[in-house]
Amino acid sequence: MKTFSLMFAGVGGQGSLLIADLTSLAAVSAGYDTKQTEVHGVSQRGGSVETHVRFGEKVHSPIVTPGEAYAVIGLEKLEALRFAHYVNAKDGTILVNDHELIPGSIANAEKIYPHETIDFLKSKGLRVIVLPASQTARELGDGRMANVVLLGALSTLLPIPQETWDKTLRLRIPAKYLEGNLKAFQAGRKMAS
Amino acid sequence: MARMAKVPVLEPSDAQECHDFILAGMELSEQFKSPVMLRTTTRLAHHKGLVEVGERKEVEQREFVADARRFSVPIYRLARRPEVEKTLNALTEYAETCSFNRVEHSKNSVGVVTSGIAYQYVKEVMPEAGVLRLGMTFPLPAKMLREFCSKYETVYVIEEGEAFIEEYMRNLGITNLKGKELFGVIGEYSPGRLRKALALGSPPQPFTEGIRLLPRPPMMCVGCGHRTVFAALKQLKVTVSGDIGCYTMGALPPYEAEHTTFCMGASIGVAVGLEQAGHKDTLAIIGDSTFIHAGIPPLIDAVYNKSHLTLVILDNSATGMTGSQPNASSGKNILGEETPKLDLEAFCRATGVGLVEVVDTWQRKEMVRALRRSIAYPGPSVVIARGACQQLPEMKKRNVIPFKVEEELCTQCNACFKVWCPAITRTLGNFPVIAANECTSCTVCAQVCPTDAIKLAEAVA
Repeated sequence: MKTFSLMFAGVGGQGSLLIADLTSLAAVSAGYDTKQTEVHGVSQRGGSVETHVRFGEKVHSPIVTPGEAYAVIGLEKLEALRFAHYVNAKDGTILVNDHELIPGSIANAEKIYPHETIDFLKSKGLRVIVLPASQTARELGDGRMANVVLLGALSTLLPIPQETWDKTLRLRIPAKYLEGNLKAFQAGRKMAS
Repeated sequence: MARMAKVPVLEPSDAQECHDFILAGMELSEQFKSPVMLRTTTRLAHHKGLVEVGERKEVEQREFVADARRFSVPIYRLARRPEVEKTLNALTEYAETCSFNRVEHSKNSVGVVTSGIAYQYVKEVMPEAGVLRLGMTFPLPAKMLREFCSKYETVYVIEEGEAFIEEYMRNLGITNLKGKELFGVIGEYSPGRLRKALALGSPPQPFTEGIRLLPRPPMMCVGCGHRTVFAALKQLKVTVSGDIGCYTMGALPPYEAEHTTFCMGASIGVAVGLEQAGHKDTLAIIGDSTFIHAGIPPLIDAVYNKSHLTLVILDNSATGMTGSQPNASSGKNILGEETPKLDLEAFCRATGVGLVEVVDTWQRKEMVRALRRSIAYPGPSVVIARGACQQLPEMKKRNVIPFKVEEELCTQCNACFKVWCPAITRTLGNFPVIAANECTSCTVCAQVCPTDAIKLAEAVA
């Protein structure tokens, strides 16, 4: 079988690492060899964060090579753009949260922010799925669950059964947030299927 | 380094081997009565993979046997040297047959000698090649390397960092090699990099044509107490020698107020050195955890040598950068048990520092004043900027009343944006807005607002 390469991109604090962890755990539970690696800066907040996950029968490199990702999961538009070149132009998908976070430390950032990212990526012939994950999460009561909405959408693309995802979420999400996150996951699944 | 120290080096290639080689290294150490080094490079250390752990084995407590001829005083060292050489010879023999080094032959004309995480990239990029994977990279197995290379037309040597294995092989007189001239010595390897070096294709580059791919550098956290200190240092225009922690971000825009960073504890030595070299207005900055770890001997030394050192200790009661672990100034240990809390100000005074001031780290004006007094003070002085790390569980659990912008009073002067707080963004009407669920109520933005438009949320209608 082929190896599934995934690239999670977000801003520190958005929880891209959490959904990468959940994906790895689900892949392991489903019986796949799995490797994960993250490239992060010195800060927990505000910087660009990329996490690579690869699973399959036998995985060698933990690093995803640009051009080979089966999915790029962008929790934010600019970060989706930053890692869009990782997607496999033939069979890959860019899943992007319809959400903009303006970098704080750049002058006039809101004016020069690439608001046209989605159209730009589509114009390059890439398969882009835009999801209102942040808005959906807010409607479900907590905007921070946008990551899990995207995870739900991603789950429809991967060869991991629904019950494995369910088990993984129940194992890893603290009890008081579980119900909300299960709803967020289902909302994401519905959106993408 | 291992060659000079004459100790064997093990290099695992994946997570499972990181586990297995530790156990094997312990056994090797006992067998040869030698320390053993385990080498990991960036990606090996920063990745996760499946690991099967074995049964826990209880080992009997063994007594320390005093043996001055083995463990003590230089006069016995020379007598030990022949033993060290004997051990190294035995290890060199061992390297030829040990299970750490593994040959995976192929009928291909291309062979690869590799080690560490690079092995994984080789398996991915050159699945057809014959491979000699070295799991023990010192001492190296000369016979094994010669024999392997004799079976292939071309042998690539693919190792991260310096050409350690490659140079050894060239010194053996092996000539059918290709290595660093293709793969380079700088930075980590990746499958994409190998592919490019071997002319097997170039991976796509980031999209930068026709769109503005803005950078997103890391920022200090919302409510971080370091912010006011670096704003003050920028204003005071002093030369700052820094140390290791989140505060190295003070070297980056917008502050650019940290001018040297080396190793833990270096801030103090560098400041004293700059002073001795005739530089005026130098200042050292160090976190509480790094100070306790490596700043104490240099502080004592600075006082003893009559330096005029100005030292800022960023005391946030945490080892913030690695995940807010407690330290000796936290009052609890890693198990969460109560332990004596190091009294930083009493300690600094005991070293002979003449002026020690403690400042609430979120008070901007007082911070500037305290730093001015400290810099002007003729002897060694310390400013302790105190305020807990926002990532500590007890800080995250607090009930916080956030600040809010009263738009009627706001003149859009942008002063609050220059606090560089990630919680402050702009509305469509160009007013600042503070994310209520992120605000830690640190008060700094309210302090800079000239029209008092930033108020506690409950005070704003």
